[in-house]
Amino acid sequence: MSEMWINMGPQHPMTHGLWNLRVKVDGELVIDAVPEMGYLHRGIEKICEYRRYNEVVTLMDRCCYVAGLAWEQLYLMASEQALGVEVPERAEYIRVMCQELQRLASHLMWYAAFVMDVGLMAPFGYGMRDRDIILDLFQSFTGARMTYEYMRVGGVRNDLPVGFTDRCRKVMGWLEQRVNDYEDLCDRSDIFLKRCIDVGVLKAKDCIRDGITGPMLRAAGVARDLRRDRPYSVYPELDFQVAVHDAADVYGRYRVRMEEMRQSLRIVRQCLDWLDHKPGRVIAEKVPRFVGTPSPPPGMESYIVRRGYPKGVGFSAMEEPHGEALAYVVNEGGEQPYRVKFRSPVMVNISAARDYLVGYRVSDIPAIMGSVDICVGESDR
Amino acid sequence: MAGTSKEGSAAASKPLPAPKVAIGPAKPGSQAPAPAASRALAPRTDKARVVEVALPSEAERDKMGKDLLDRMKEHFLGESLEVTERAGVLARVKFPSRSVVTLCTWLRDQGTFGHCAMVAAVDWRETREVLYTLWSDHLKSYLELTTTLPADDPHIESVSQVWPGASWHEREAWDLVGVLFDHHPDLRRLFLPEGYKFHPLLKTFELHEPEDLEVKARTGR
Repeated sequence: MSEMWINMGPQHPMTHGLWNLRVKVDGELVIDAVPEMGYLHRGIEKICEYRRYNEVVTLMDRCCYVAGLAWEQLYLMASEQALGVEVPERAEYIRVMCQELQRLASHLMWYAAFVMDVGLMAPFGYGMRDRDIILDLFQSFTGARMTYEYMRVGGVRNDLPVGFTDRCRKVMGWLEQRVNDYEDLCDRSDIFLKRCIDVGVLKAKDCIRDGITGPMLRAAGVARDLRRDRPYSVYPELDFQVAVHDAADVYGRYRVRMEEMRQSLRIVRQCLDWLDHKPGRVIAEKVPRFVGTPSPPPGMESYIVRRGYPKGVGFSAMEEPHGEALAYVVNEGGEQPYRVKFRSPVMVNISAARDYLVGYRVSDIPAIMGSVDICVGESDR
Repeated sequence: MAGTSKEGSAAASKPLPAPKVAIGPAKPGSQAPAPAASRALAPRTDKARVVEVALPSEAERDKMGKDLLDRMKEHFLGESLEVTERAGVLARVKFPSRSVVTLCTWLRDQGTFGHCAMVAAVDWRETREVLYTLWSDHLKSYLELTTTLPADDPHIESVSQVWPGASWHEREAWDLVGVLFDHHPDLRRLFLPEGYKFHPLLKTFELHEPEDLEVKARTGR
């Protein structure tokens, strides 16, 4: 049989963003795959070195455009450690609530796109509508639907509006029913099952070897979830469980994400109950003044001298909707961070594409890559 | 699949009968047979399990971590490792760059650090630092390894042979900070085009502010 290379991307419905998957095929069989990234590289890590600590938050929303608040918190946890700022408890609860709402929005977006990839049209509308309802919630307290700029060094920008918790609870109750419905919808679809079961298998050992994290790893039976394994923020106080599946295929990843949505609903409810009863500050009292002021005009940086603030290094790890995200912030006493480095879970999950694509058919690729849940903004930064 | 193919062959052998009933809702008594395709696979109900993760207690974890660091120091006596404490991670280990592969292999096999979470590079002008962040499922904590390379010749042995997942992190470090990883299986640029002259995260790479360009456009200079 003659072999040939096919470019799937950079503009292809399978990619969900801008990247190129080169696959070598023998007839319909995939025998090699090489992902190529960089179409969406904006140099966010470099721009961070030219922005003050609070100004970087704006970039984080653009970094991952389906889970902006997750990346805001990831960056802020590291920079708060680097600057030595304490966050009030109420702000932590608001942040965790944002996290889980963001996880719901991200997984719903994934559900919409993925189920359409495998050939079902109706769930696309359902998923996108429900995500929009969560975005409405975000809009009511951040003022934006995708680029929030809501968190600050030391807390969050503003408290929740009056009546928010009741409104949010109503949405959560409604969503709980919907998530069950969506699972039923797929359970009864032969198209869905045939395209998912035993496709894109990557066993636990191989996942760990390739550095794969997040729902992909948990679908292979490894219960690694940083919210539990290395608790940050107020996660230790919350009651939830880790979703695991043993199938290690596309189907298992779908099941894990559906269960994670239920667990997220549980966490949001607990946060709302806490927020109802404990008023308080939402931003730290003592934050170094320079983090909030705008950057000096170009050429003027050297005239502004900052004294008395300690140097430091911040490191944070977070279970982002796509997997394990790390941030590393070096504070060298300047008004801007000296170096900011992120670990993108999506980048690593794509990097192992050869291992979970080889041996399957070309028509399986959309289903497999869909189950990886790709956000190119985050992987290319 | 078997059901579909049988139906398909049967349909091929004789023409489809004309529908007896005109368009409209099925009458309550008449049971329309379910299409064969829907019987091909029974509905799957194996939903995801939910598990409670048992964390080792703080004291237990400290003890295990300390044990491991002691064993590591003992094993690498001649390598002059510097172990310092850092918030958020088990420890920060500074090591000479020549021993990277032996140290990492030992940590993976003897130290339960099966997951290389991140390889980062920092440009300190005179030197370049390479940071490895490792995760252990057993200890439930991160370990940070760090080493310093001279800026005029920054190269270090690749750890892709130890953890294949580190491959793209190293490509990124080469692409953005210009650190060379020897014996890397595929050290190409990750984000920037091949043949690009700069490594943009070096401090010598200047960023032009949009305000700069605006002034230039207005004054025509």
